[in-house]
Amino acid sequence: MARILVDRLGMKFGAREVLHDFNLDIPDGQFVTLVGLSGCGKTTLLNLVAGLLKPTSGTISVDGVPIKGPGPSRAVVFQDAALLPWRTVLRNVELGLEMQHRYDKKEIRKRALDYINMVGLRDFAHDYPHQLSGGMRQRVNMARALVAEPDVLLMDEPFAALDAHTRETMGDELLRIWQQSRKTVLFITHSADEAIMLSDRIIAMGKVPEGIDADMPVGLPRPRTVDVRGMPRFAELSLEIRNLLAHASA
Amino acid sequence: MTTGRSSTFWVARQQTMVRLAGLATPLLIWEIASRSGLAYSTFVPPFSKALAEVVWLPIESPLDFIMTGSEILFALLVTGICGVGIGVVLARNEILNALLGGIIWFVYAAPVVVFTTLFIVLFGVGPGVPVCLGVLSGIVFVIASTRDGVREVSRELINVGRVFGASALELNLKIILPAAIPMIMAGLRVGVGRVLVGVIVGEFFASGDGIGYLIVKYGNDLDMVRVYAAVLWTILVSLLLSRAFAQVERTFVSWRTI
Repeated sequence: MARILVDRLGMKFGAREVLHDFNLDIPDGQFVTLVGLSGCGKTTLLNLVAGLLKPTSGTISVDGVPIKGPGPSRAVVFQDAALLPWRTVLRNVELGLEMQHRYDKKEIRKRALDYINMVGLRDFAHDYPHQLSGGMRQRVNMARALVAEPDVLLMDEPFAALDAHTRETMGDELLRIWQQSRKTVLFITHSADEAIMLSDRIIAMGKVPEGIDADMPVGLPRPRTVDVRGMPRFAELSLEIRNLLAHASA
Repeated sequence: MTTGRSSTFWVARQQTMVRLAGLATPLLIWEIASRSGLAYSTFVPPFSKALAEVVWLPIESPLDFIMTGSEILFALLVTGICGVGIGVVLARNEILNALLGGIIWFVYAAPVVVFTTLFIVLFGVGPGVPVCLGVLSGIVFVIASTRDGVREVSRELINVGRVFGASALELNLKIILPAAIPMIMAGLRVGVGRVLVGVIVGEFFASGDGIGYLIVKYGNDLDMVRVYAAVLWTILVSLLLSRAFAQVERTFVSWRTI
């Protein structure tokens, strides 16, 4: 169970106000995507939920517990993989459990290997990040977040640096994994199609610090396959998001 | 594949040969000049004699070698441990950094030899002077590169540590220090060379023992064979140190192949 409640959130960096009186209610298990132009406060919101930033005003709570800093209930899938280059894939995935001090070494290794298998990197457990492709690094990045078994998964444009094909594959992979655990997900992307393909609900963030421009339920059937792209609802949403973004930039 | 590998092998072989020839030619000229009487053999004794003395010198003066060896080791340990420690503290503490930054730049800029007299007054003639000169010569490079290395650790890697619940200690030991290691190693590499220079120069001026002292003593006696042998030993120690350091660097930074 992980319901995220953002209540009258305000965030200023010095004199620059990024979020003002921002409210958002994400029910447990929902896959929510934030779209919006660069600098609209998406990443700030995600970092606030992660506990990496402290809000100027207002609160964020997960299941009624206010967030005071980073915690094991939330894990982040970082934008540029952000793997520790001096650690192998296995050791990178172990990192989160290692710092939680919840399991012994053997159990940590076992769990890490399970998740490495899940993202399809069984044969690369002992490779270093520089030996992997961009897509593989993002898989490790996902495994590292998932192994800590968080209730909420925060993903800041995780596939932005990948080529179009790998990007789609990674999206499918993410859906497959998400389908099994149904964690609450807060996802950021610039791609309208990626947002529609993945999420239950899309939130378009407008100009700073006005907040939400549109809150759209996706309403496409799951599990999503390529066929979804041919549905009228897909085209309709895609157009709507593009219009919102074009409008915001004008 | 096989031919490719063996041809690079031969190219490497050739390079080594050329390099050896480049080294051997002047030594051969030296030898001939000395033996033929072209050069005054009191000042330029045959190279072969100096080379033979390289073997005998440590047997003649074992204490001096032990002294220099332990001075270098001690100075290296102090330089490495204190340099990295101070560097980390300065990176995390703006006020201390501002306070000590000036002194560090001062020592960075000055040839440390100028402090010799000061150290002689402070410690008297003895191993204190070479050790201090060695440490002072080397430590600023270690401090500066550690500080910069720690500062330049990417925000994102630090956030990784924070998100996954690292304590302050874990953040330092598991994220920041390893991420800064390539920079720290670069500082240590320069530092090691400087420590050696500092120790030998310290022995020149203010010590009754050590390889540096031998160079001065035999120089005063015009015993050039032993002077050259001691000089060769200094070079040998320097080569050994940089070899050992490269080994350490390889084990620590093996992941950094780009």
